[in-house]
Amino acid sequence: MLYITTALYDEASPYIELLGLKKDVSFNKIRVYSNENAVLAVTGTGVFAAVSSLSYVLGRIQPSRGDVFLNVGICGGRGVTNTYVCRKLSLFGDKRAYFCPDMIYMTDFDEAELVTYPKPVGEIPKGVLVDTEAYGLAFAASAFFSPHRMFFIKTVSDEGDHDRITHGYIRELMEKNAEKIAAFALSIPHEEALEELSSDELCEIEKLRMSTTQTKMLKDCLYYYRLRGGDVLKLLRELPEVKTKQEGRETLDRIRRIAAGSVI
Amino acid sequence: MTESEGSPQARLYSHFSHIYVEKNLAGSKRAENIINKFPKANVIEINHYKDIFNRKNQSFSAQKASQSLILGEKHADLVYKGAPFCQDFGNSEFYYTSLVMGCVYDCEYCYLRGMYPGGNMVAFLNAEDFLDEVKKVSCGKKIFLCISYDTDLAAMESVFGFCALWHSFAEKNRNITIELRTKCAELGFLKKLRPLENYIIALTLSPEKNAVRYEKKVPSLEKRLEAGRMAAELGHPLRLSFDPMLKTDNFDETYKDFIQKCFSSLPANKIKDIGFGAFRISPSYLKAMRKNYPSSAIALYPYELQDGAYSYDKTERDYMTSKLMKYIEKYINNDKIYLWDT
Repeated sequence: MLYITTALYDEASPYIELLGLKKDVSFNKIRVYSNENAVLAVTGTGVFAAVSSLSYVLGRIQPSRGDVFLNVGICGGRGVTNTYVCRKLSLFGDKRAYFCPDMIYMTDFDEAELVTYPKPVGEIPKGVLVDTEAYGLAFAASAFFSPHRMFFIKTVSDEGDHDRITHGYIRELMEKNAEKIAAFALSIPHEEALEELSSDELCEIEKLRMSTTQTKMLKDCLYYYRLRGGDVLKLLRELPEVKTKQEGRETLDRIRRIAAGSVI
Repeated sequence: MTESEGSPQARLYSHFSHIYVEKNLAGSKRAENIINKFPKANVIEINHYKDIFNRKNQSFSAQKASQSLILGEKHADLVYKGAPFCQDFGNSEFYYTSLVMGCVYDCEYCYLRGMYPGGNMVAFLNAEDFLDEVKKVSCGKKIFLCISYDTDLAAMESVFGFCALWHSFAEKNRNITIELRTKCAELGFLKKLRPLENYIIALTLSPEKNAVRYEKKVPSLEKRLEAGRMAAELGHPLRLSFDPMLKTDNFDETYKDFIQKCFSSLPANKIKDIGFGAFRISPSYLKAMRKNYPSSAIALYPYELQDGAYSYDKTERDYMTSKLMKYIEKYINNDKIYLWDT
């Protein structure tokens, strides 16, 4: 699942269109759009709105290990005009508050460092991008996502001269790279995950009357047995019936020996 | 646009494309020398190495696929007492230290997969503080110090130069015996170092079949043997480490051929000693390994817990040990063979 956040609807609209997202009416505090592959939240502007909105969404739809977080939107930048992927996000006024996403996957964009301010700034410092949300989003998202699956891709809209920023201008800027950015986010490979045992296999395990700890140990043995090419269901079905806890323990030991194979 | 319509899988950055440097080290000579070895790297200033290395939710395996380098300083716990899982080679005063955390190689059985929160590499640039601390710990006594456990210092010698630094330390402190453990085949830097009795090159070797299957990015057995021969011929004390010994199909044949191959390449009379032991790991590291690598055969194997370590069951371990001992004894006196067991 891809989780996208933008501060404004105008930043979100190209992604809503590209990914075919529909308004999710189950969220009534902020605007959320979703389908089976992606969720997009329009958080509102400012670091507090960003943190509370994202926490609201992630509290409702808990991401899993392999999900991807993407923040897109406009930002300020002095003497620069492009779209950048952020390698460091910090909070203005707090030297200890910063976050570095893992830079593992290549994009077509240059890298930049971004400082999140409490409100829009007129005088933008040289050499950094500025916004009013990203660090807050990183802070909230880092509790749920791996740092190598978090991306902050920002397009410079102004040098602090906010008057030029209109709805149409934002959309125009965002549309430029939306397709490329969405394709990139969707191309992040899935995490290696353990394939669970089948429902038939789990059903056979239940018959073995094992404690929670024994069941966990048994499953570990079976995963290894399967990795070695063994037929887990066949093995379980051929076991003698277990009537007592003692027999359960003996069965676990037997399966462990079968799964491990012998070197002798 | 859907996931299946998306572009092919994202490309990875090359190793050390990103270097994180603690702010107080930026511009320092040692940091600059290292950074200059990676002219295309993006350099990012950070407050403290732990802000990157110790983050929650990191993926060890993803970071190993595209490692970043972190340059920092460490000011506490610079020298540790040797861990019970490690071999002391008969030395009662056994310590280890890590100027670098994280390894350029990626072995499936490596305990680092369960020990560290991430797969990046940290180098501590206040090396002299480590040397001073070792001197304090030794206090003039004879000690045995392993410097390349949680990394492979030799594999990174062209970048950090720490092997040479420790060598010069060993030269001035003859009471401290240093072991440089490595799987690296590029040991050319040894030609510039005077062989010292108290500076041991410990070469880790595995049967070719295991090396190919489990030792990602590690030089082939052939190349390691060549490097070992060169080190021995230069006169450096050479220790062989057949550790971990892994349970494999055709164990007898695999290890018999392996030992034969080792001693057809290496001069047995120039081997200082040999250490070996079956795979063993602490429960917490094994748990993390299984989480990080859910389909790793090494991680998933149903080990037995004995005396605080997971390993093969005793009967099998004894069998494997006795076989390997028998093969090694053909070439090396028994008093030079050290076995790790619980």
